Amino acid sequence: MSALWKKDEANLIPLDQVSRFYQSDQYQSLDAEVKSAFFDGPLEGLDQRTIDRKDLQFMQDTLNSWQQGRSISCAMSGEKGTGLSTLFNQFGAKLKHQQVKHKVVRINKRLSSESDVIFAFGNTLNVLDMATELDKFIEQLLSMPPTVIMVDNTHFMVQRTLHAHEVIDALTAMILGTRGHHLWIVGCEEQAWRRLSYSYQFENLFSHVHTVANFTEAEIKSLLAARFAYCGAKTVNGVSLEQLAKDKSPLSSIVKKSKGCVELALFYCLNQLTHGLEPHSFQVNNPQDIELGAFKKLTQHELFTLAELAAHGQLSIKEHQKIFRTTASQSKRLLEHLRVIGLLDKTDDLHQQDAYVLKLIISAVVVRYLISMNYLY
Amino acid sequence: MENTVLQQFVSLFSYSTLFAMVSTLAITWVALTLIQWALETLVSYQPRYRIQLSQIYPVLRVLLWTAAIFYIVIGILQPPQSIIYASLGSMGLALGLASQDAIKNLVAGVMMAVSPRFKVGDMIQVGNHYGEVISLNLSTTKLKTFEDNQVTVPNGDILKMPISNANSGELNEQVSVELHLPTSIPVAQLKALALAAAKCSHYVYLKKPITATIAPKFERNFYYHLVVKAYVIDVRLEKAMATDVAERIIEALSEEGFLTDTVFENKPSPSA
Repeated sequence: MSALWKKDEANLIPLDQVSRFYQSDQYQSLDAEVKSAFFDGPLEGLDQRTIDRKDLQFMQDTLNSWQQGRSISCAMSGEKGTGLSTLFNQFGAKLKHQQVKHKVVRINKRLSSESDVIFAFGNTLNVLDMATELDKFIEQLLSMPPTVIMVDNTHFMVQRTLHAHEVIDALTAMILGTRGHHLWIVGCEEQAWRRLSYSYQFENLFSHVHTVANFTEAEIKSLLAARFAYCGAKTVNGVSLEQLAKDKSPLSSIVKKSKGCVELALFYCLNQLTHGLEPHSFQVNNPQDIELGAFKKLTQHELFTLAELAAHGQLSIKEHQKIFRTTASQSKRLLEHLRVIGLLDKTDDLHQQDAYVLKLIISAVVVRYLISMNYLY
Repeated sequence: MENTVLQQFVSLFSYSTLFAMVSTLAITWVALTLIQWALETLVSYQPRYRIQLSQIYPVLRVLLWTAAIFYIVIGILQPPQSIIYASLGSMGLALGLASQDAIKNLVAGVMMAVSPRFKVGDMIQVGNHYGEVISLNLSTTKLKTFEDNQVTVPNGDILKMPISNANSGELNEQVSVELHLPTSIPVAQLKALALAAAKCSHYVYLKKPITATIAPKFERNFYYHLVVKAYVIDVRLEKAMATDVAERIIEALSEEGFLTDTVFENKPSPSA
């Protein structure tokens, strides 16, 4: 009976094909401007490919309160791909314009001890003669001029290991010890944020907690219009770019199918994009759904792995081994299997060799599935 | 008089009424089968609402069968009052004498549907049996134990017995892990390590508190009785979590060099 409403499999994009899309001839044949326009990573603050979001106003309000002398600290969480890093870059550009001293601490590897935390923060904040003891390091931070300190990629502080609390305790001490003097804005992926809050009551540390919502349909339309403008398009499906962001847009089906997930919208656009007959014109066909049948074949252990990946942001084989108490080969086999079926990507990060992350394009879909299956909460 | 009632009773059953009765019963059965299938499909898509969805079917079944029987009697057969009273009287007497236990279980089943003490999906302890409620019928309740046995308990017995419900309609439940440890381990470190090790288990539901209590005990020698209580993410993983947490605590203590000789046992707590 379920076959009655099963989608026609021929019209679905296989999950593993999504991974291979960026190596495919179709993608490679696209112009460099188009590829650049539909780039799905974090963007700089003044980049034309970004749009202004209401979350920037929240950051500005927080800054105003701090400048008026209020002792505040704030946390911002959002699903992977909601653009937290881009928001920080945009706000950084605004602060530069307002001549407010600021620093973005972009954590790029798992921090596993107090000294890791001191080193990561001391390095970015340019602390001279960095202390090795936390109390002295906090004194050094207090001797710095008041600064807006934005911490990005806090998911690297999540770990399900015995001494994980050391890292959180160190950050907590730093924020509490310098609150008021510096304005701390901590950004964290939603699942990592929940994990930190459930395990360490991390949210109690902040006076303001803000959730960055997924993009609304109107925001995605505006964003896609901005991306088309960036690559020099004048019309899409014969419609002007001004009309693209409106209600009866030819991109409506892409916007609906992407369900607030920017990466998915960008992927659907690229996957269905062809040059039009006129110069500077593009044709975008209706998007195909991604085939997600692979989820149903996953074992309990694989689903737990995906859940931990969502909470940790990324996992190396060694970290997976520690969490699940498996051998290195078992962990590698499992993670590689998930990568081959198209759910994970391998990072080429120098610090985290063989680290695996949820495939950005479908990470929101995976997380929603894991929540419905009760592996994430 | 008796002949008249009997004749009136027989006259109620024509081919058309029999057909209507069979059709009503068939439609009810098909409707219930469809509802059961729809609920099972919904559960497969939304396992986190497994318990809430599973409790709908037993209630609907009682309601639909009652409605079907009511419709057959009042809507199809439309017997005169004399027949109804006579039938009820004789049926009641016959059933009461012939099947006291069955009626008792049936009545208990209806009472349990009206005022449930547990739901499908709950982990309950009935007598010596501890397991997940997999079906709630009108006359019996079926449990699936961790030994993979199916235990059928008559509803009449369930009404008489004390029931311990471990999760009361939630997917998570509290599980106790008990370990007997040497008194050479410093208490503060033991407690900290036990809590940290429990937090590391991927089966543990971190949204709810984890506690550890330590009490000195004597049995030939002094030892510490450590009890770690944490919530498991899904009741079906209770044993897996208990084992995982116990192993992690032992490993953590060994890594810190505290453990030389340990006797441990882990026992899931039936109480939430």
